[in-house]
Amino acid sequence: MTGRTILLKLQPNQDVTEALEAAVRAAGMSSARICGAVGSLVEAVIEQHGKQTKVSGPGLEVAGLSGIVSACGDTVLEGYVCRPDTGLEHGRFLRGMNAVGVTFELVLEETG
Amino acid sequence: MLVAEHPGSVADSRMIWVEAPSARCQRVVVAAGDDLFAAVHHTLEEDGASGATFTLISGSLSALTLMTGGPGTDTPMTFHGPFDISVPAQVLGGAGITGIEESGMRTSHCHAAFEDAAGRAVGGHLVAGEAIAGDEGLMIELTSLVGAHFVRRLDAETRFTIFHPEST
Repeated sequence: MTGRTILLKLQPNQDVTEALEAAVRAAGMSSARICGAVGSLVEAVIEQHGKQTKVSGPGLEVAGLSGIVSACGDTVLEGYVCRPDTGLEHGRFLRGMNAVGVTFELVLEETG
Repeated sequence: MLVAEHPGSVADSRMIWVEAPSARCQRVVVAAGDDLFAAVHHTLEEDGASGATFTLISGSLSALTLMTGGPGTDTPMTFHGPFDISVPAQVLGGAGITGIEESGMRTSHCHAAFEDAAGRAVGGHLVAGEAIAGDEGLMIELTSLVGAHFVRRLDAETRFTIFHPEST
């Protein structure tokens, strides 16, 4: 791997997109790729094909979180939201509306 | 934004991060019939890596049990399941973290999405020992970490036992 690599844990009740941007800034990176992530949300608000969906929680597990985290605040994250009955939703996580539930644990690789 | 009330006191620091001095990214094929977590742990032993993250790229599972997160009755959040998923279950996406228990034993946790044998989209976290690669195997991207890892221990704020990043 060419860029620096950080291991990260986010505490609850902060927006996942904004918290990741803050982490990238704290690590002195301009941008970073999500190499892998495991975490949960209090509730999920996502958008796909222009349609907004809210999934009620709390404690919704997120699978396959992906995207490039940008220190300058234009990060777009997408992934799957697992309902308690194993049902699934997919989409883009809307900024400021997706609070970490219990934790998010990630590995980020610097891309810029 | 809706937030949750956790049983412990709120930690001063809202994030913990450490830098891994070295990391290696590689594609690994988990052979048909092999256990996903056991295959990851075996590869890390061979690499001399203390931890890893991995993403599921493609393939299927021939045995799969999921658990999910959701609202609890006595606690704000709890786990639901187990759910036996009809197989073969095709990978849609997902990722896992491999770290260690405080005892030093390797442990993995993976959240993933699948299309089950009935064509239904399902997701949750994989039950250890019950995620077996299907006929065509399972391709993963494994990022091995040296000099840093995740340790699974009690989180004082949430009272869940979860991974914490640490330098080694």
